[in-house]
Amino acid sequence: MTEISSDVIRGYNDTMILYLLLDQPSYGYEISKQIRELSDGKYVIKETTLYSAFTRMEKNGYITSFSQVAENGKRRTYYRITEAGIQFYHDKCDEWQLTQEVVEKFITH
Amino acid sequence: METIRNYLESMFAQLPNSPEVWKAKDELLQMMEDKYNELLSDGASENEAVGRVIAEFGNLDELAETLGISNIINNTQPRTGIELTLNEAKDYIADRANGAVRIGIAVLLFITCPVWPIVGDALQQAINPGHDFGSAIGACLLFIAIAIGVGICIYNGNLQRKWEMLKPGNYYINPDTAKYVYDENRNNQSNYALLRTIGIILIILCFVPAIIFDELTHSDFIGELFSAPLLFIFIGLGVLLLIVAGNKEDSYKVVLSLNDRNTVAGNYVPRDNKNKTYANKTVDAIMSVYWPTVTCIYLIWSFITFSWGITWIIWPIAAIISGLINSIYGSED
Repeated sequence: MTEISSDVIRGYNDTMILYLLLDQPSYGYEISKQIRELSDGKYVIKETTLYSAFTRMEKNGYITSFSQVAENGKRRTYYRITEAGIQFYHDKCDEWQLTQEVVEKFITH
Repeated sequence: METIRNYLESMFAQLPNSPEVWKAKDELLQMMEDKYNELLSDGASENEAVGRVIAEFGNLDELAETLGISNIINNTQPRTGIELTLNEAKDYIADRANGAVRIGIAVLLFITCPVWPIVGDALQQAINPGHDFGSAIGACLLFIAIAIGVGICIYNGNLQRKWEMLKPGNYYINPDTAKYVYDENRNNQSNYALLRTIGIILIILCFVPAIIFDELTHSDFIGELFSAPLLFIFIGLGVLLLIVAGNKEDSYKVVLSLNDRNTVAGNYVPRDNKNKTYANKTVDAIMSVYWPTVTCIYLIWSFITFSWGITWIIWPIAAIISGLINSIYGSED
């Protein structure tokens, strides 16, 4: 069975995370779970990958973090998308359309 | 969950002790814990859950850039030294405690050695004045006491020699051991405080028996037989308690200080272990012999004047002066 190469998907981890934050703020495990479910278990994001994406995007101003006590009484770091993050997300969507169009021309089915 | 926490601790053990690293460690633990709990509630066995969480954790290389630690991850130096296991650490702490009692008894013998001639002389005067027999026996006992004390010190020195290798770089401890020793040390803090307090009270009160016997008995014999010896015994016991408390505490510090305090593993290194340095070289030289000098002055002054009731004042004064020098010239590296 083919697996997703982490090199290929790396450029789109940010897109996936931002997509999941569009509706509401969320936290680490929730996001990794949604990514697994939406991809039908074909892509499992590693914890370290997720964390480095969070810190990188926070540094770039695409997301902000805040800490909140979750239902189970534990303190969790939540992330919220910013205006710049929404803009970046749409740019990435356009970029993907283009990438997909180009690569598609070289793929035999 | 304990396995996961240990896994994360050991992954992070050699990373710098910085806020970014701590934040990353905390949040990764949050995510792993969430995943672990969910796997368990979905019916996975504990082993399966631990296995999956660790397998899907990823690689620290990915964090290198975020944490500003690429240089460390890319040329990971193997940790130097060998591990000091929890049992070995316990052995060391127990050995140091026993050693402290031995040294304390030796010091007690040294401090109380003048008691023997005094008692011998007093008994001689009371029973059969005119002979020096009692004084001679007393003098013999004085030297025997010193000899036993020296013997104990040498014996103890030999027993403790096997722990000389216990230095940062030769040994390190794992997070579990560090946590255990750290907690033990904290739980024992009130005991040290109690031992020290009783020790210092005994030293301050050393004159009380002399005063009481002097007032109550009016008998030279009783006074001579009890007051001076009790003074030495009070001081000796007080010092013994101080030595026991100090050594016990120090043994915990030695174990906790084995890890490099600049790494996450060094999180338990006691704070006051940071090397004090002084910008001024002269001050640095003076401070390196400060406390031994104070101790010498205290003992010389006390034994010359025999005013033990007042000479202790040197300690608070010395502490204030040391505090002043630290705040003016001191800088922590």
